[in-house]
Amino acid sequence: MKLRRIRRGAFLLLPVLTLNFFLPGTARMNLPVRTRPIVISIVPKSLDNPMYIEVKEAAELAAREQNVVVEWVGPFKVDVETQIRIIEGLIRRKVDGIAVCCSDEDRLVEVIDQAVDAGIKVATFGADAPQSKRLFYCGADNYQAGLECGRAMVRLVQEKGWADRPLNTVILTGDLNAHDLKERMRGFKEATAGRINLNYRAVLACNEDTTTAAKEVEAYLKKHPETDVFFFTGGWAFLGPPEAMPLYDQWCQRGGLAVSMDTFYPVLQAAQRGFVQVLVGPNYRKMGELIVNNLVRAINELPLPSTYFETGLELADRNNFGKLLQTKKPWDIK
Amino acid sequence: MSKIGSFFRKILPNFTRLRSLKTKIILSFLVLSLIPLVLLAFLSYYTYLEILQQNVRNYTETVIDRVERNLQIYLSDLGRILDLRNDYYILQFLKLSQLDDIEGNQKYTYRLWENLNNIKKYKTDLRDVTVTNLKGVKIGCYGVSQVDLTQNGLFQILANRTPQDNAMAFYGPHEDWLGGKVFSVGCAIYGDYDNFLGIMSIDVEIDLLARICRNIRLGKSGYVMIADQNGQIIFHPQEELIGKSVGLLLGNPVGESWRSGYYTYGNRVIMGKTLTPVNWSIIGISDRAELVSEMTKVARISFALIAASIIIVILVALLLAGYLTRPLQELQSSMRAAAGDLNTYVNVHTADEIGQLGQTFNQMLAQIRGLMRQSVQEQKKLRQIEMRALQEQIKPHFIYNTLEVIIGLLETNQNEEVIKMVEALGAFFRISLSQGEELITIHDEVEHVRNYLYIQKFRHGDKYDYRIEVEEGITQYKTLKLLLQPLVENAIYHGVRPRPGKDGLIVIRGYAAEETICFEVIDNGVGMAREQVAEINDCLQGGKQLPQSKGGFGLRNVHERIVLAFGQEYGLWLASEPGKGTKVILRLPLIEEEPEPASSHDQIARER
Repeated sequence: MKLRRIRRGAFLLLPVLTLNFFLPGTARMNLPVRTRPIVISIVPKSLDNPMYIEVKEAAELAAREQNVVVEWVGPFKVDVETQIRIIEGLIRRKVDGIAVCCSDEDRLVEVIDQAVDAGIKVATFGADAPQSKRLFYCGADNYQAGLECGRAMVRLVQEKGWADRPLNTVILTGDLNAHDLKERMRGFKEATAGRINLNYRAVLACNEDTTTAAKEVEAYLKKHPETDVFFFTGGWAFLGPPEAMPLYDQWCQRGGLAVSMDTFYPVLQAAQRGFVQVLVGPNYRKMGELIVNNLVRAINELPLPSTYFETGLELADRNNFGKLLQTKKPWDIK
Repeated sequence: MSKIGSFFRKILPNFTRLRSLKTKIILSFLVLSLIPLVLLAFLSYYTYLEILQQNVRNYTETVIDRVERNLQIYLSDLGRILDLRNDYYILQFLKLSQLDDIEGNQKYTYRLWENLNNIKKYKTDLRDVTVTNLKGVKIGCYGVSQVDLTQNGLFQILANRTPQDNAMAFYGPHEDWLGGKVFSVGCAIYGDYDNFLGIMSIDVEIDLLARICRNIRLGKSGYVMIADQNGQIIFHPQEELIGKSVGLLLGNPVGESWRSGYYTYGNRVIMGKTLTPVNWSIIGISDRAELVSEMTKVARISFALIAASIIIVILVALLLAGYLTRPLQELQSSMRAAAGDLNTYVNVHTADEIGQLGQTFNQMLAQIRGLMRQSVQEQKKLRQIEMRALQEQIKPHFIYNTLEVIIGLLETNQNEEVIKMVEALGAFFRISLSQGEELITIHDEVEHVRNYLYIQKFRHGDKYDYRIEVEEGITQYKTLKLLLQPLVENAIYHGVRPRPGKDGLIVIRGYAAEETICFEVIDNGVGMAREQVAEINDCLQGGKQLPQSKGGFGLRNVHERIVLAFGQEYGLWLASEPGKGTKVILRLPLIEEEPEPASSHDQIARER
């Protein structure tokens, strides 16, 4: 064990020492000698949300490539206070880089700034805190994603011949204060406004919990079976078994229209079953790679090309659900 | 006893002046009631103190036992949680993370997060439940992180153990990476071939100790604190003392004794017990001042009771002493009155000892009165006898004959003899009168009879001779006057003179014998018949009238005077045989001459 650690330390020190050798004398003196590997801590909104599994896996693989250590730390359930506490702990531990998916864009600003002030390279991913001193944001354009969802809904409504009638519409979101989700809702509403007649009856919040998401939908439909349209700002409701949503299944069979964010394997499976007509998803694998690669650059004091790294969007409908399912790995975590 | 008495007189000078019975009764009541009362108060005080201390000890022990039991139960629960370390998902995670299989480990990572967070929910004080592999990869309730194993104390403890010694290990208190104060418990995880795979650990908020101990109060200000194996305080009701040394808090002289046992140091009563698995010490600290203040209340109550009792005792003693001494005071005033008037009579109201004393006093007064009457009569009688004795001495015949002798001497110009005769006669009468004194010295009495014999010998010529043999040692003692002269007169006139011839002899002996003075008047005269002697002796002993003849008056007079003056055990006794003479034995008490002569009345009364 010791031998491996020594080998790893030597391996890490080698490029630094080599670089130092070729640098002028003064610069060589100023470059700090690293005695431990670079540690990047990625802080998701919650641990229990499997939607991050692709980000995590991609980040860990990228870290192995970069020969840095990636930690995945966060509250088990979405909890801003705990997320702040965790970032404070990381500041105390003096990790080299932090990437945060912000549960609350306003409340996280202070702790992000503290980390930056402490010399830690901080980025945001998935959900941004634009008011903070973070180095960059990495993720999809959530407003654009919302627009895509809205356009898809307009298309579906028109195809259904419901364009002239008022439609009872429900939005299921994760956290009402999360920047990414707010942006998605904003894009959706702008894309549909004036084109179709959506009456927003409720915005349900599931706190990005899969079980809660399914329960909220079922409970709402039991009370309001007259609902016509669902917009899901994330695919939480479809990560669990489809049998857990019988009322929703019936509602879909009665012709209910639904558009959802995320194109994970279980969400695609649910869509293929008829639970959703259109899916719009960020590329989470790319997100993981971008987080690690750019933070390593920043830690190594190399210039970053941008403060926003777009991961792009993936669109799916009845025509390509099966094809996409073939390209993705099934989740085996629940 | 007298030393003790004098000691008390010295230390209690005022009390000795309080000589009234009433004061003594009050003091006796006070002493008798105060001693048991004070003893009772002291006994009660110390018994209560003992019970209180025992109760404090028992209560502290119970509290500490309860804390220990709660912690043991808690630790036992943690042990059961750690039994999950051989769970399939944990083992898979450890193996795959060791192999750096990122894709394959996602499933177990998510499952473990869920499981570990579910465990965390079981107990509110759990801060984190983690599994750490040999690479320092730690999965817990807050995700996956990297730890420096060389800085992980718990990991180091468990890594140095053997699979056979896989008991729960403890570490801390320490600060976790989220800034919380925790202590850690953990167990090693071994693979199929007893190969060390890593550890499972639980971080418990140190606030658990506060939750268990904070509300425990030992008395008003006593408390329970907990110290770790290094003697650092890990829980104290005053948070600022956490982290400080127990030794410094309790005082260095205490040493390590706070770890177990019960003892008192300064104002603190300390009881410690070691929580065995973690080697922590649960220490109960009570304030001794509270005990003392509790006891001060008891002492105050005791003293108040004693003071109240003293007042009550004084009041009761006053009443009782008054009730008891009132008859005595009446008796006393009656006795004082009796000093001036023997006819006083004590009015007896009670039938108790005081009443009996009064009755006895009345009887005594009556007896005194009787005795005084008797004494007066006896004195009167004594005076009469004395007067008769004097009258007997100053017989005209004796004076006439003596004067005849003197005239004859003058006619024959025996002036020297005349002078001696006159001197002897003068001395004879002077001693007879003795200035009215009842008692004279034996010397004077012997001189008196010597003068008498000198005069009579001059008259009677060679008919008889006389010899006086008196011990020098007895001459200073006193005797009734004029006792020997009548006996000598009898010896002359009824003994030697009727005897034919001129070899009559009268011997007068005086000597001391067994605290008495004896005189013998012996003559070798005609003597008396046995019957006559017996009759005279009987009369002398029984008090019958002696016959007037043969000197009976002289013997009776002398005997009565002696008996009246000194009692029946003194007096005369005769021994005689016809033709051989007579011996009269006179027995008197031994009376020493006093420096200041008392009156004869007092003297006689004293002798009686």
